[in-house]
Amino acid sequence: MGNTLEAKTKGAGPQLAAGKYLSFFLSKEEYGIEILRVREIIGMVDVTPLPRTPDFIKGVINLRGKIIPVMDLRLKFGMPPAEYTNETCIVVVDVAREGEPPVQVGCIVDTVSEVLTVESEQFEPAPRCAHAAGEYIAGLGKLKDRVLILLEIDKVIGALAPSLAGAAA
Amino acid sequence: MPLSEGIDRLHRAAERLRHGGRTTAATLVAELAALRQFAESDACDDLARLCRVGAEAVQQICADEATFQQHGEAAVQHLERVEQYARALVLSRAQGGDGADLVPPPLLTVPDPEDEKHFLETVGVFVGHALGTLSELEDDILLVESAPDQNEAVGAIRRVVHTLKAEFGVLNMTVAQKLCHQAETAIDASTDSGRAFPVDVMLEIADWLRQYLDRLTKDAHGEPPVATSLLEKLRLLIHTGAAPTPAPGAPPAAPAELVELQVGGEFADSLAEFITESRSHLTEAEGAMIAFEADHSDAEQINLTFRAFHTIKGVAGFLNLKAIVELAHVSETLLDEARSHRLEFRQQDVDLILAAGDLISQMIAALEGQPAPKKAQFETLVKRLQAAAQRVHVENGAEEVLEAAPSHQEKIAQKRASPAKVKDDDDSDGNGDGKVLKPAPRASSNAGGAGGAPVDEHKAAKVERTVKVSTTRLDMLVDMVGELVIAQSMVLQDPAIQRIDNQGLARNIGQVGKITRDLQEAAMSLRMVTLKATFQKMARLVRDVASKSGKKVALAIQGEDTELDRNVVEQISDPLVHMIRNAVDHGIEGPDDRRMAGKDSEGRLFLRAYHQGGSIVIEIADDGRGINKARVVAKAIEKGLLPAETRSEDLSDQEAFGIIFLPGFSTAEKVTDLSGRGVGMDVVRRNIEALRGKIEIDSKLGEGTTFRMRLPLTLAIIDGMVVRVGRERYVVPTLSIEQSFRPATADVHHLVDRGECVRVRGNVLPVYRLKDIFAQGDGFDDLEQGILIVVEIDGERSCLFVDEILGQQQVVIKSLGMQGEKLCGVSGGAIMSDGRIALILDVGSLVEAAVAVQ
Repeated sequence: MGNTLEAKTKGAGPQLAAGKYLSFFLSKEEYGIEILRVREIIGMVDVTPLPRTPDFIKGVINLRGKIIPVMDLRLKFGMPPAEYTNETCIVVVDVAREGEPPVQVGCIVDTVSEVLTVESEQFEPAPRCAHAAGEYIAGLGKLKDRVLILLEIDKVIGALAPSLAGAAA
Repeated sequence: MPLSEGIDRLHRAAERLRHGGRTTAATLVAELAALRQFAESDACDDLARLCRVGAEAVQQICADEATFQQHGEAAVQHLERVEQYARALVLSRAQGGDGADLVPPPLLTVPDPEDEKHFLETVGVFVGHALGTLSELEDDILLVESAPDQNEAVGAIRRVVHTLKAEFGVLNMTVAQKLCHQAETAIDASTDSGRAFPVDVMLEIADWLRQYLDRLTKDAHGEPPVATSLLEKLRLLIHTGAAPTPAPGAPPAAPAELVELQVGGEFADSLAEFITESRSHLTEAEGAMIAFEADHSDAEQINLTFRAFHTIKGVAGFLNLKAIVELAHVSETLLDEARSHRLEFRQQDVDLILAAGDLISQMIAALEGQPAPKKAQFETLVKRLQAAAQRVHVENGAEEVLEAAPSHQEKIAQKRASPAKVKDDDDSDGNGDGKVLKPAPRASSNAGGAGGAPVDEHKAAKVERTVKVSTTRLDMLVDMVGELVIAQSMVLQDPAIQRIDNQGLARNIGQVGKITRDLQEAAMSLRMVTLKATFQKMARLVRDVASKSGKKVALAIQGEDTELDRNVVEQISDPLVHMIRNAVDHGIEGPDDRRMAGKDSEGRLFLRAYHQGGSIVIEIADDGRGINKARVVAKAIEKGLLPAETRSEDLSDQEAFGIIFLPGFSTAEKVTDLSGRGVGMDVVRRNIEALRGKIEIDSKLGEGTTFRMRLPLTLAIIDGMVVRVGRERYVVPTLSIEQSFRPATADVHHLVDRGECVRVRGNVLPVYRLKDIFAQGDGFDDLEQGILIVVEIDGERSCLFVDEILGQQQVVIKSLGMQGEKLCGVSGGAIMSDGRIALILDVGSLVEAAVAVQ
């Protein structure tokens, strides 16, 4: 926890905190979100579609008696949809709200990989290239053998919870 | 004038602190101590207290540089305020006043995060509670106004004000404390001098308090509203009233009035033991008296009481507590007469003994730094006890007063509440607060001093015992019970379980099911609150609106104990205010018109609540002029809401009155010229529909109007029809369903570009297919395969096409967790017994969307 407080910023980009990240795959690319924001990871379950919503919002699920919305990150980032398999996971993310209990949102990812520690010197600002997840990238985590795309999860969820995006960020 | 000299020196010391930093603190503390001495010798208790606490705080703040940096400025500002107050005090004294009208600044405290948290919690609890008491207060004030001889209500008001005063005091909210104190004094002044109870000023005070409490809910450190004019009004009331005890115009010399309690003698060390012991003796005595009351033949109880008082007297004698000895002694005498059968122990005697017990316990509390009881009160009681022992009647109507006494159970409740209030402010100055906190109600307004325990006594006395629980926790419990219900039915329906053929298991599962349902019901009932507070607010509203519009209106309330979901009660208030204001303002005629119409000049308004068929009905009925249908229709045509050729005869009453709720009808201008019922009725209806309720109007021209709101008991559960479309299930609220049927081919018509419609009992209704509205891939296409559900929204009927109806059931409504954005056609979700989610349809927006789709 101590490390995460020493947030290090590069340029004007969003703050990246050194610490543990959960990494997961969408297509061939590996992404990371701060582990502290992850509530739990569950396998794919039955999703009740919500009518008249954007296609990346897959619907709602019953998370132990609580109804939470889930979005498909592939569709959110404009990637082609994929069949859901045994590997497909829902990463349940906490969205903090001021003065109220946090709400959860599920993100469907191809597969969850591992929990990694990213040190502050491994952060790189997001490259200015046309990546599908472009505006949601907070930066890159340069690991020894590969690069992690670190997501700004509040912005990603913002579409589901527009009123929260500001408060939670 | 040493006091003003002390003030000057304090001023210089404070200046030095500001410029010279914390090293000069020692001088300041010394000056504060000096000023305190002056203040004490001049009997300025508040100022002395300010100095004492201030010195402590200054020492704390100046102890290290960091704290000083943080709070130093606040300290200096505080000292400025102390200085101002002290100067004003000196000035007031110089002019012969006592400075009792001045409001001392709040005590200086060093904010500590832990304390702050505690403070916020305390304020939260206090405000929640105080808002409740405030409604009661208003109610009592109105009661007094309607029937001035309400001693009991006056007593209740006084108790509430007193309680609030004490609580404000504990929270260091001096302005409010002062206001309550003055209000209390004013009430006393009015009762003592036999003048009318100051209803208007008291209502203003109630308003002021409400305003302040509202501010406190938003910010626990919120500044109180301006109270100067109110304080001035109270001052006038008190002084023109010339209360009998102090000489007219003279300051109430508080310290002299109080019972003196000086611990002395060689046993002074055992004070703490005495306090505890006496308390338990008093409790015993009280219990015995109440037992005696229930069974007058039980002489042993008198014996018990006698022994208790005797013991107290003995120990108090060791401690040289003369007042307690005296009171215990006279009580003992009375009891002794009774137990030796020299006199018959009667109800009045029981009351007297209980009052004596209360006063003793109050004096004991005074030993712990609580305000001492008033001497006058003490003396009256002693006299009465003596008189009772000799069977002489006391002239000042003691018995009459005693009848207004709270019942003994109440006294016990007060007792219980009292230790909780003991302040840890262990004031060695004895009656340090004596001046501001006048301790006990007077004998004239309340039975012989029962009520030395201010906190919560009123509430504790009336209501069954309650616990305050935060709503978050409550919601969590309700949520969890909801989950349990679902989990239980999932177990029950699990094929593996159903395959087992075992009677014992079946019975146990059945038992679990029953308990679960009971638990759910119990959990739901936790959220229920009565309409009492809301209705009381309306009583106040009626009074205000009526007096403003120069009408006389009598309000009759029925069914205020009806319980509703807390959320519903909260949201029903606004529409109620609207309708009541309309009813009084427009519905009920002025006195002259009423007389001309042959009615009583006083209008009547009924506010009723009752259960009907699983929902709650709230009715607002007046006997006013009623709604003029023809004029409503004319107005609607003028506004373009109805086709110009509409004739009012063609519309049913319901249809015509329904126009009132149309948005365009009333908002454009006030339709007071019409039969009333104008302002924002569309908003009212929208509010009620948001609560999944319905509103209807009954009206007869010249006879009155009745608004009837039908509301669900709770927002957490909905009665719904579960339908299926393709592989999805949906819940349609039963409230909006009229009927369902399988259409015959012959009845279905296709209109070019306007979709399809179906003939139902002579009416042609549009058909909307759920699968099209929701752009769902599966589901039947052929109308004859599925079912049509007739729904009614805003008086317009239409048909929803679904594949099949699965059944009717109550479902727990859950939010979909989508923030900010409202989903079209869906109001929430329900978890079905198989664990999957069914969306709950919002028929109103669904039909709107359907029209848009076509």
